[in-house]
Amino acid sequence: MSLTHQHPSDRHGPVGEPIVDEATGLLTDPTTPVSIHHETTAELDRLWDDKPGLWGRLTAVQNDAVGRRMMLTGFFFLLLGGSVDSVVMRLQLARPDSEIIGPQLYNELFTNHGSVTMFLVILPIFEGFAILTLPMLLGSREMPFPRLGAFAYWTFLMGGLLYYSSTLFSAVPDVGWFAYTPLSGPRFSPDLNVDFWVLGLGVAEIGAIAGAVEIIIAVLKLRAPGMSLARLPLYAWAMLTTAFMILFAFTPLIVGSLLLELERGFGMHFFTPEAGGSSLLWQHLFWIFGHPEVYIQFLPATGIVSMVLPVMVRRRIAGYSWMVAAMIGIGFLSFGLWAHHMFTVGLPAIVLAFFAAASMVIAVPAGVQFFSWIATIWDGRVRWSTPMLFVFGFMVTFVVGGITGVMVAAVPFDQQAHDSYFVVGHLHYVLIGGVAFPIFAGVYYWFPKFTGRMMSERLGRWNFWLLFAGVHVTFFPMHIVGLLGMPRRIYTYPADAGWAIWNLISSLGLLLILPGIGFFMLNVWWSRKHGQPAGPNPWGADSLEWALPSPPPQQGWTRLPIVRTRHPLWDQDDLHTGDERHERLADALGKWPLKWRAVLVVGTGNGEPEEIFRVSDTSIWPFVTAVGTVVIFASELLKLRLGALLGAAIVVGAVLMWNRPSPAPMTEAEELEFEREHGVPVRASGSLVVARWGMALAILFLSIAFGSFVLSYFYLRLENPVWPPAGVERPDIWIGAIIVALFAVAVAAVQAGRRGILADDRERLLGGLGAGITCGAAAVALLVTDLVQADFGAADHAYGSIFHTLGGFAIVVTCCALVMSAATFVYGARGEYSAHRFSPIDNVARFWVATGAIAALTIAVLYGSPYLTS
Amino acid sequence: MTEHAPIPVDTVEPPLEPAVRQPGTFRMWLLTIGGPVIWIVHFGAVYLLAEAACTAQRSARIDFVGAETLRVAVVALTVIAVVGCVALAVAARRAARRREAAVAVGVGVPLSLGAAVAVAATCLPVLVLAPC
Amino acid sequence: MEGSRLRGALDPSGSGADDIAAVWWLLFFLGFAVFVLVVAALFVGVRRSGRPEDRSTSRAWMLGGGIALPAVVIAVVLAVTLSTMRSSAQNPPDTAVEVEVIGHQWWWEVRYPEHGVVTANEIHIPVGEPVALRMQSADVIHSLWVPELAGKLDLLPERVNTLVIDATRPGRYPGRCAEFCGLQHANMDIVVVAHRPDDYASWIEAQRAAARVPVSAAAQRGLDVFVASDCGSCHTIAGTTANGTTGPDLTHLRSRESIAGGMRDTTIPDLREWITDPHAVKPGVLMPGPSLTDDEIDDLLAYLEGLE
Repeated sequence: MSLTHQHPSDRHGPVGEPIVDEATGLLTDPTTPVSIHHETTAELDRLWDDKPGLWGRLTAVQNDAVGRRMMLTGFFFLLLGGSVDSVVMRLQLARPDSEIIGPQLYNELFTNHGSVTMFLVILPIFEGFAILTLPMLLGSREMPFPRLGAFAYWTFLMGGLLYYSSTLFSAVPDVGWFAYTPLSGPRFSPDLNVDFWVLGLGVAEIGAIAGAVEIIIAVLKLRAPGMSLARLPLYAWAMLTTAFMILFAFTPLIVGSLLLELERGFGMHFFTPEAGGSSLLWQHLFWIFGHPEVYIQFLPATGIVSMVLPVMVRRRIAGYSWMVAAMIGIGFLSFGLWAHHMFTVGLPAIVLAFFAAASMVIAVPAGVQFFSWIATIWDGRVRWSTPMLFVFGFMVTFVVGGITGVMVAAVPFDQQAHDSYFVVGHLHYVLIGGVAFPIFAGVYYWFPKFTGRMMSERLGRWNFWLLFAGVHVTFFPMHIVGLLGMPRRIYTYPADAGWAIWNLISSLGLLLILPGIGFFMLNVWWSRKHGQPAGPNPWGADSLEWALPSPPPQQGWTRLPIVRTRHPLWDQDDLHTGDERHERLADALGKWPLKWRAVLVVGTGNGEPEEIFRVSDTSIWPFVTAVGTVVIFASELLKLRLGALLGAAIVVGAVLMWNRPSPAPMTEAEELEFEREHGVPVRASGSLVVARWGMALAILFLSIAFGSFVLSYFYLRLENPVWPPAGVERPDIWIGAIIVALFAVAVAAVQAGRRGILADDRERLLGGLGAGITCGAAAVALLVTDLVQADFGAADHAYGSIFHTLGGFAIVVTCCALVMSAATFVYGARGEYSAHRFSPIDNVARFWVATGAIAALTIAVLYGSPYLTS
Repeated sequence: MTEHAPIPVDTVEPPLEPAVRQPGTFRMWLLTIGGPVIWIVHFGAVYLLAEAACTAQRSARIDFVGAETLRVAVVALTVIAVVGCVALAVAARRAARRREAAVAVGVGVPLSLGAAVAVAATCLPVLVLAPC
Repeated sequence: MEGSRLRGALDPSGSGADDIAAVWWLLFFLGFAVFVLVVAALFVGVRRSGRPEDRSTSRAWMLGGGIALPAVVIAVVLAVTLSTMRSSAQNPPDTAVEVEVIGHQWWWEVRYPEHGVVTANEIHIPVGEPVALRMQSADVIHSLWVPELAGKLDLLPERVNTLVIDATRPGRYPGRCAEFCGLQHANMDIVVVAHRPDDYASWIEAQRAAARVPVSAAAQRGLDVFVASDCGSCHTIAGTTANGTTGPDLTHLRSRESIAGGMRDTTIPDLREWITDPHAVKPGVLMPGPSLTDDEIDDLLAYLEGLE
């Protein structure tokens, strides 16, 4: 494929018609603008590549490696768990009174099936795919925090393995993927089964959040010059919304899991009714995660459909803004639906009705999305390739899931349907029709980009039709058998219940699904080597990644593309001309003095260049941090409390090493010189803008966690008429006041230090940090003393448990602030910071503000609220 | 239909109008997702109020929020929220007319109007059902 | 037991299930109409070939299909939902029959506080009268679901939930636990038996009586075995020293249909199988397998046979 440098006036007629190259048989598009391949490619490849060998694999941070690994590991967990489980379960249920497997194994299987697919399969596949493709799609060279991406992968892998290691100990989780208390509590599940579930998946959840932070910042800040929000591909919008949802949904789950583990491992009481706990508190915390989780899986799928469908019908998506609005709307609404999983627990009718209304309203944005696709199809002409078949299968299947979704949102009907097979049918229509089919479409669509070869259309058709038929045969009868009264999660059923024939049909459906998936695997395996060579843009697509060679080079963009339209490959003659400033910047990136891992940051809204910074390079420390995290969780599993301390030490040490300053490849003078010439600041020592975003998201994460703790506190308070319990003194409000005052001084001191370094006054910086550390440490010491001296223990009653937990959270957050301050103090004394390079100080100051706010609110809740609400 | 037949691509979409003004970050996000934020805050407030009132009544047998007070409070919150959403929709419409970047994506108007409807729908039950 | 009649939520015999079935049919026809509409639009769309100038249709689709259609549908569904909730939200009348249902792993304890009657795994109600089920769990969360009579409601450990049911015609209505509650969640059945008022009164009368005194020597020995083997620490038999509450009350065991959460009948062979090794019948059941000789089991069965 040669370069194309056509002048706009050379163009006649529509662009992007796919034409078969007679010589090669490739499906190519001669007018597609292709990225220039500089002579510097080899050099950039070396600069951006991970190191070879085992060490290289452990230290790899490149988005290609991380993304690909996440996806493959997700598929691996799917094969290991999700799929085998379902086959055995359907075998067992094929006949009534079946004795193929017993209740214990069956319960383990359905627990595993749900947990693996919800936590270890779909999420990492989508996050991995986003990490792999977003830089190409957005015209950037990397993700913002490559090491955080690597950490996300390692935690996800190790969490999954920790979870699966339960098999080796014959302690497979068996209480359902929802782990309702008190069944999952220490009294009814005394063995390690539930600990494997909480702790293994807990590690993976941390990885999910880390991945989400990467994705948010990548979409908002790391784009090609000129790619304003209005020109963002819809897939990027979908991932942006999804990543925010992950942050808001997984955090309460992590808090809930922590409380559950404290109850299981430390004898605390959050969910034990006898000691003032509430079993429903767990359900709230779980479903605040659990419902958005459905949309966390669904939105990326709609993003994929919105990319594939317009290309397959050769028509722009109808109603781009409507589509964006619908995705954002779904993102918000999905947080107002959680209680529709709790319609039968006996909540007040008015509360049920609020959630029913919200659950129905979400049909509107979903409808907007659906009809936007239909309108696009009407306006265009369908090309029946395999990706389009799967999109078609998605639409037909998902619409059924959507309709039954509105049905179960109707409270009275749900009181019949809830926890029956009707819901099993509904959710599989949503998750297979709405999520798995788009994933297949995406694989067929992007496979040529990453392998350079097309997948076989013939095998693809077998794959699709068998799967499509199989899914309907398997899951449609479930609606019927549910209405006939068959509840979920039963390992056997009597012959006289009238359910046998429907279950048999469901099980027979597997005879279609399994070969369908077999054809898919065969297709992937065969096409990798023998598929038709693809060329850069076999589908004649509009988005940036198709301008790169297939497979793309390590750094992705040798020369950054310049974006002037929403569909650059359809509407732009080339990717190298545009705003003159953009052209000069694109030129400069990749040449001296920017011959390092330079990445462009753009303005959130307008896509104008804002900063050039050096992304971090390969490092072993993300791996070590992940290992430390697993050591903490595994020690808790084995009740080795010292091991947990060791793990915490590893994490702290590794994070410090991970973030230690490294020599900048440019001097301050060179940076300022470049800025004068190009009007864009360069930060070879580390970004200011991206780091600010990272800190903002970290603070957001802590705030959500804190909010979850506070809501738990007041939930328990409402459940207990006497608070604090009889015989317990209310906390001393004066001690609380002193603690708050100390925090206020600490925050002010660190702020003063920050102003000091902005004035290039290193003494003031060190003085401010030192004073902040001293006051903060004093505040923590006082809080710890007061907790230790309290006349009640954490295991006495729910009040004691939540008191110590919330106080402990404030202590942990403050300790993080102290460690960060101490590290910057040391680096500051070594002269790492100046008025030009002050990003870490900026972040420490911000973190202190958040710490102070969290601490003050904690004190207000713990020390103040008992006086108000008694 | 043959696999590789030429298929027309529409080329008539007018190019995106270049933005004239750059709104500040806060203003941009406010005009884009302000409506949904109001919805979620309103939903949280209304839900927590109802849950707290009913739980207190059940577990402690106290009416710290009476049935009528609850209803009035919910309706009042709803009116405030709807007015806020509509005001944001109007502001987003104006901003789009002035061709402010990002807001001109046209996301803010449908989102804010949708949020107004969602707020009202969420509150509807309180007019029909007895609290608790 | 039952024939091949398809029973369930769509074959209602109680006013709760009646209301829900009405809601269902509305949802079904609305949903079916939407499905046909959407799929038809999709099929016409893929068969037709657009021209570049077709742009005006998009907005119509978005407003008509994306907003108006779901808005109308959900307005109807929400209205029906709220009106059904409103009519079913009434508190049970003072005249309602009061029954306490306590969920255990994996059986149901059923108490009639007004009559001092305790039974298990079956609820007897008079036909046509509202019955207030005051439900709570003794251990983990369970959920009572009798699809022909009403929707389901959970049994929580921390509070009492009230489900009001009624039956419009006499009969037996199978139900089961719908919330996963551990190993034997699948075998936690219950049956609601709706009697004509006279039959109900005589049932209550029969249940109020103390347990039959053993009449044969074997049965007397059986009672001794029962007491000696400490069965009474879990089971109650009114009129004897057995007063445990962990397991089902056995006072009128043989008047019931089934044991072990619906797994076996109360026939003598079934009881023998159960007592010999409950874990073979229901793995994981909380009843310890009593180590009794064959003779002791014979005697015990002779005694239990009389508990009608």
